[in-house]
Amino acid sequence: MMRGGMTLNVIEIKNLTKSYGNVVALDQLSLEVKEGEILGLLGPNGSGKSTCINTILSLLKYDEGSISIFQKEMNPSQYEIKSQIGVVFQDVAVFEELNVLENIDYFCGLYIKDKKQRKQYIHDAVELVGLQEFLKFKPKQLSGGLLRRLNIACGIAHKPKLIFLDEPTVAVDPQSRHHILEGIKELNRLGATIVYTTHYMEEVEQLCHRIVIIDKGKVIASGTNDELKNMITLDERIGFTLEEDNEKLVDDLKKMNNVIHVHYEEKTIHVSYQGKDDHLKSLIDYLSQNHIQYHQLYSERPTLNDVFLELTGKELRD
Amino acid sequence: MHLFLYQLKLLLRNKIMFFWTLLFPLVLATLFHLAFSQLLDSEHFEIVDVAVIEVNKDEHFHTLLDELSTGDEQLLNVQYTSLEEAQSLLEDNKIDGYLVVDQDIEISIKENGIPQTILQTIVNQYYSSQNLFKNIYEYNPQAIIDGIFENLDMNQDYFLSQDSENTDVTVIYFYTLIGMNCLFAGFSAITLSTKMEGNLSRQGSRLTVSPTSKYKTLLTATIAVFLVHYTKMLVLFFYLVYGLNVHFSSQIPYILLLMAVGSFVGIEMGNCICSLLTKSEDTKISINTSLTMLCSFFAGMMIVDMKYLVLKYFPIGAYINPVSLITDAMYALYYYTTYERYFFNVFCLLAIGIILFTISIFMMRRKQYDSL
Repeated sequence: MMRGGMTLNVIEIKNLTKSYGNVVALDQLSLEVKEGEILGLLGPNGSGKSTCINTILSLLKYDEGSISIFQKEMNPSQYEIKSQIGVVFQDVAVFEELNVLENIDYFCGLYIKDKKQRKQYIHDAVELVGLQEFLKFKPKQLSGGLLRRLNIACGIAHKPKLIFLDEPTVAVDPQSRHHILEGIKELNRLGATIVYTTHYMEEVEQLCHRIVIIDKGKVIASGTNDELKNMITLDERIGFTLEEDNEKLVDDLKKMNNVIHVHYEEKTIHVSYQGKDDHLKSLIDYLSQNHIQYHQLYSERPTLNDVFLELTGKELRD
Repeated sequence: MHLFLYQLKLLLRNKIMFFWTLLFPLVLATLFHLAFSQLLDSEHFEIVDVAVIEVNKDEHFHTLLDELSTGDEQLLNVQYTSLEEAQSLLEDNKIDGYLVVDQDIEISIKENGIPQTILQTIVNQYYSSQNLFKNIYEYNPQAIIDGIFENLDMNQDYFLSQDSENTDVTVIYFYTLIGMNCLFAGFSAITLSTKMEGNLSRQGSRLTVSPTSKYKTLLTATIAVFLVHYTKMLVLFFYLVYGLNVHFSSQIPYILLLMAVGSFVGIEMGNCICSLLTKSEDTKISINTSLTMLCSFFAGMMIVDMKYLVLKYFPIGAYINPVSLITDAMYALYYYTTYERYFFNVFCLLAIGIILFTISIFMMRRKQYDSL
């Protein structure tokens, strides 16, 4: 929805604070989710991602702050808002007693009362997650990946405008992961705004238009993938393996322009550079001029893990 | 209707619940039946062959022996003989013992056993109530005979049946079984509530974030649990009546009403436990089981005397124990021609159910959780 060229905020969170006793789970957290985007909430385990989602959904009480969805204040009795939201929880939330079709029908039926419309919606959801051949299967008969797909179908079958996906690909095989990520892209293409939490940075880079990095209940950075990477000093990392030990080379590299860090371990060197120069060409020239033998040369752009590492001093998967 | 139909499906497909709320009571009823039928068989006494030597005739005792030697409840086969003849009969095992009636009554037996115990009981009873007997005898000799049978018959002194032919102490076990199974409705209520509460299960979280009111969820869940459980209660009841030939009163509609109110109390007990505690489903079911078994115990399920001990030493306990109220209501239907006692129990049950329901509703007003 655009008004005067401005994209509306589907979610607006201001100064949200939530504590469990003495432990602060959300610390003055503010966040905006724009209509039509896929927003990635990235953070290590225990950073507050799930608490953030459960609080937005009015499942959890919070101490301070405000939450509005579709420009209305969110509370447990906001059924109109709730009817436009779909949730896929981190834990699989289906009934063992019901088969695949019944599970989707049950959850879809909480939103869609018209049977004919519901039948079509269920059909679309089943196609989206690729469960056509498993409709009569009970959840315990499904593999982990198929179960995750069912979990997603149950959360999105009613075609919500806003979808929360809380780590939907945890412990999923590559084929199902691919299926799930493609499905999410398709949902977004059909118009849904998506909030996607994960600690897999590759998924966020592949999927999300905008990324919010959370740690200890605080937003420590937000922006697009490139914007986040531009926030840090690291611009390029080059690695190579020497034929024989060369401590002098390590010392020389450290003295070069734009080199911010050199890591040397068992004949393998990783050099971190800042600035947009052609660092790879410079390095190759230097190694050739000094007759240094090497192999397995590679160059890479900084990852979101580098962003997280530089901002917090720890790895995303610590 | 959508939510209600799926709640029904979830309940009907829960095999563990199906076992505990239907198969287990049926098995227990069958075991009760087998145990009690053997017990009752053992209470059908063999007629005792006894010789009586009347050195000094005691008219009252003679009359008593005559009464015990006739009718449907014949206990003795008496032959009046000389002492020598009696000794010979005893030696040849043709009698179980002989009585010498003189100033006192002497018993001679060859071995110990039930017939000899019966002879001893008759003489003891005669002695103990001799003075009373002399007075009563002239007015009501049957009362003395009843006294002897009461001493021989287990626990039947508790009952004053409107229909003496059907007097059967064992029915009280089946009453408590029905009472216990009414409270078993709490299991289904807890299981379903767990799946509907956002902080207890992820399925519940999904339901909580949907545009479905909690009150609607509670109402449909209560109706679904009631329908499923009441059907199981009917199966149990008709199995008891037609499968095991347990004799309940002829007031079937009243028993069905009682089972309905009892099931309602069971459901609300489960709902109340579920709403008051934030423990796991297993813990809640354990608490419900403990409460149910405790109520059944104090209602006399394991020891029938317990019901009377509670009434004697802690009467209010009987009025707040749903199993006891159900048992007593059925007892009242069985033994009394009026319905005051029955309806008093039903109203007590309803009051308990409404109180539990109110607590559940009050607790369910909480719409958000501190933690998940």
